[in-house]
Amino acid sequence: MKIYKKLLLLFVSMLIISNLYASGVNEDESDEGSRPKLKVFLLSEDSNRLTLHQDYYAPQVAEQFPGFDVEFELPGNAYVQKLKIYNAGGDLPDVFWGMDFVVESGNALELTDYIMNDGFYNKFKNKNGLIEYKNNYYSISPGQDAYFTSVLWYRKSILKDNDIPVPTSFEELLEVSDKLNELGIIPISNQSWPLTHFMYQDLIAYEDPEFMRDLLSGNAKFTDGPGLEAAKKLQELVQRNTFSRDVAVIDHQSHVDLFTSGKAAMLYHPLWIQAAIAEVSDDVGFIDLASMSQDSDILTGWGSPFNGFMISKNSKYKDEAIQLAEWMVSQDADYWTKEQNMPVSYDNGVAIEGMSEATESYSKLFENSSVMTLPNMTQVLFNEAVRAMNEINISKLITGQISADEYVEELQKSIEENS
Amino acid sequence: MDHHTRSKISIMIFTLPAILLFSVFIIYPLLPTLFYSFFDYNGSIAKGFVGIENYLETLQDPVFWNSLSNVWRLMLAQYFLGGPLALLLALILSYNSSKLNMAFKTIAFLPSILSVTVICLLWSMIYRADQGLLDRLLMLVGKEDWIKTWLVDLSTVNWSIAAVIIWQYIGFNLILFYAGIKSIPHTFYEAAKVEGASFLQVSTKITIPLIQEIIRFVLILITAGTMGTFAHIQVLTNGGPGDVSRSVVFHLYFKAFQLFDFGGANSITVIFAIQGFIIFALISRFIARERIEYT
Repeated sequence: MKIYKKLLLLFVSMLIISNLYASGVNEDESDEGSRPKLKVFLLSEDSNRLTLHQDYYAPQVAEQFPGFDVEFELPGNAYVQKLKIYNAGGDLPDVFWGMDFVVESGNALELTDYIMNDGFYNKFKNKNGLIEYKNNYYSISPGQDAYFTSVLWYRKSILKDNDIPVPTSFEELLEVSDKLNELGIIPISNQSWPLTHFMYQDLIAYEDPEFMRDLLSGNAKFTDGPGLEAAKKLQELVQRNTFSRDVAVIDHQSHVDLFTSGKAAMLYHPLWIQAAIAEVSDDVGFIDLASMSQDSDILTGWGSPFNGFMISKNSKYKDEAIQLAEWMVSQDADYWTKEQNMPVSYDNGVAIEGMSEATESYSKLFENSSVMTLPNMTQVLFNEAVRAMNEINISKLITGQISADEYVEELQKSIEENS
Repeated sequence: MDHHTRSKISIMIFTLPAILLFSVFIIYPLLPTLFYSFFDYNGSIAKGFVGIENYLETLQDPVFWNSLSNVWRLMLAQYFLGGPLALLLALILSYNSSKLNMAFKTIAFLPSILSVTVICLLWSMIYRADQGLLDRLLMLVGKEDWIKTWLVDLSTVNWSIAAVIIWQYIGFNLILFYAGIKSIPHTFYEAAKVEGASFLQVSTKITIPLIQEIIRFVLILITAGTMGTFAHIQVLTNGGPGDVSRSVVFHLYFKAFQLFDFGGANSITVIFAIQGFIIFALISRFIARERIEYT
């Protein structure tokens, strides 16, 4: 064999051996000089979460955690599905936005001891921002959710130019819808998500707030009077063409565009939509659907023990993952207070200036002890399976596949089967 | 050892690697699915043996049958519309050797290399109520009464999804057919030309019989692709409105990952796999039965 052939053979052999060695090394620490990896799985469907990643986490994370290679994954609208797959495989990222099924399957790290001992807990001026589940904390967030509720936004100019009053009752809302439809304007831009997670509850609360409270505490059934009446009201709104024709499938951006472009006079969406409708903020008014007024005496809060960053129980670097999550919470707090002028429970020392009229109004209401604040039923009363079935059944209700009676029966059955 | 025995041993030795690979990557993963289909299993813990209860529940579930009928309808649409259309286009392309052929093939093939998400977002804009391209076109030609809420109306939603899938894969099938047609020796066509055969005669007497195996291959691809339909439905309708546009794979995904009924989902998988084996066996049995050699 000639010398160059021997050298070539030697080179190829060394290449193969080095490849075999490299593939056998743990991917978190691929060679001696590289840093361990922390994986973060981010909610990335809405503009708030994307801004947080682009302007807050990504530019600073390397400086804040120099010993780690922090990798962000942004799955867009496939977040929940992908998290379920990670969860089923037991291979969750180190840090991720929490969901109840992760806790139920035992894959979320209990955070109570960590956040009590490292002082994170004491940074909350309002402890409602941290919500316990079975005497433990599983997720951390700056607590902005404690101030979020559903809102019926309206374009002042559209109503004023057409001599249409702001509705103060459900019956008036139907009349306003009819008038707007005659003018070729979509009365309310709505979407499957807010409709499922807030509107039905708001309509029950509109019927009878005490009944809603009883439902949440398990002392009433959806098949009882106000539960059924609310479902009938929801179906009536659809039948009177209050929403766009494709409300069952419309995507988030189109839903927002209908309102900002003036094709829809009203928009039903929680308070956090303000950033997306900022371009028309000077022309926007708001009321609460449950009371049909601006000074509501009943609110649906969005806070949940699962809405925040969770840590995988199997993370190799638990302490560092918690530090990373706590840092991200501080970044979230900065974003909400500085950019969105919204209150948070976490004390980041920022005095909020220029709070929007809606945020200020709802903040006062949330801090007013005489206002009945009810937790969101889809967060606290429904588990993942009930939520999934409810989404299907709401969709069937608004497309006329089932009646209001059938809807409440299915919902009650689903709750009883999955409790 | 006689020649016959030696031959058998040789066959066994040479097929062993393929059998091993098939067993490890196909048969073995199916076993846990089959096993857990007899359990009340939530994906983490098998709560108890339930016998054939999951199978009975699946077979009595109207949503499963609706999902199955959706898959069948889509499959039939592919067999009788998408596939034949791709074949017809391939026949026309191969019959006329225009300079535009290459451009046409490229354009037709483009959708099949695009991401399903991109395709579906594009089509959801086309189908969008009031502002969508389709509604605007119908308004332009004065057919307002034809306008539907394409992805919400129960009578149109499944066909709207089918149209997207057919559109996406027509170019891919066209290229397969075209490649098959181009592999047929020119002498057959030259002889047909001398005899004065028409396009129809050339296609039915020469081309189609000689690309039987390609047709079978395309049918298998169409069947496998259609049976696995998931992403299109998820992006376009998320299985809705309600559950009317679910495919079987979407339904089993819903059962497993939304309802955490992995036992039920596994029973669907087993039933669906059996159906798949039957369909593939039928295609293999009745399509391209005889191998045609060029002589």
